[in-house]
Amino acid sequence: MKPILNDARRGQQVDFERLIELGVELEGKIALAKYGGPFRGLKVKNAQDHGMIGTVIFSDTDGDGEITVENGYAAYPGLYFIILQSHMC
Amino acid sequence: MLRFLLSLSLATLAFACLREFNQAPKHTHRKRNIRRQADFPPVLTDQETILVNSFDNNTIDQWAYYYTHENKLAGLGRAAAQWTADKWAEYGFQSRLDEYEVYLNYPVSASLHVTYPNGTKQEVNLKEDVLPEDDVTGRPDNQPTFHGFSASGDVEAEYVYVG
Repeated sequence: MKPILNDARRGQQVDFERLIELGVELEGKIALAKYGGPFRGLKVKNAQDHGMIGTVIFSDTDGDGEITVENGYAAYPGLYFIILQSHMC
Repeated sequence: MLRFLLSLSLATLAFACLREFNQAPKHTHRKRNIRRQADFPPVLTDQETILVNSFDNNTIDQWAYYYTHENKLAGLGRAAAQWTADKWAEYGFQSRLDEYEVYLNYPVSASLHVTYPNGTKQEVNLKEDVLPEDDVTGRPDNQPTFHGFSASGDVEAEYVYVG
């Protein structure tokens, strides 16, 4: 079965277009979006552009990538490691 | 299709520095040095020798500890900025702190509730758990989760998952 939304995208314009295509009412609703992918501010803007009144952005466990208990890594706080990532704030 | 109600209460006065996942690889002009991988022990240039001798795991550990225990929210944490400037000076670089007037806001309060179809209402926890193993959890100067520049207000509606 084809997923309703492409999981690689998160709150992008195409996701909203897809929801409209499916007949999902957006006006006056609160958007629930996964963190990551496009800049977080754009998720909020996209929601606002479709008449939505609020946005909740949440971190999903899929952000753990390959670093999972299933792959032999201890769950936080059992393991400390540093992710060095340069990013603009 | 989604009948739960979410109410969002946000009062903001900030600018979050949250990590973005799935970033594209950084642009770099540095070329991978294939030759060096074959040579052992590696022969370092003068500049590389200075670089390698300037750090050790202990220093990196101490600095990482320092930075991860400082408030780093934009506009706050002057002590860490000064500490960094002093470190540069210590290693022979001219350094100073510049101040700029910027537009940013900080949150006063934020809360999230979910109302289930049977009418029961539940508060959603927006704070990480305080763990004895992690001493940066539960600090009084920890900032609540917020989205910089968002409007203040209270909204309540059904939610739609947008990906």
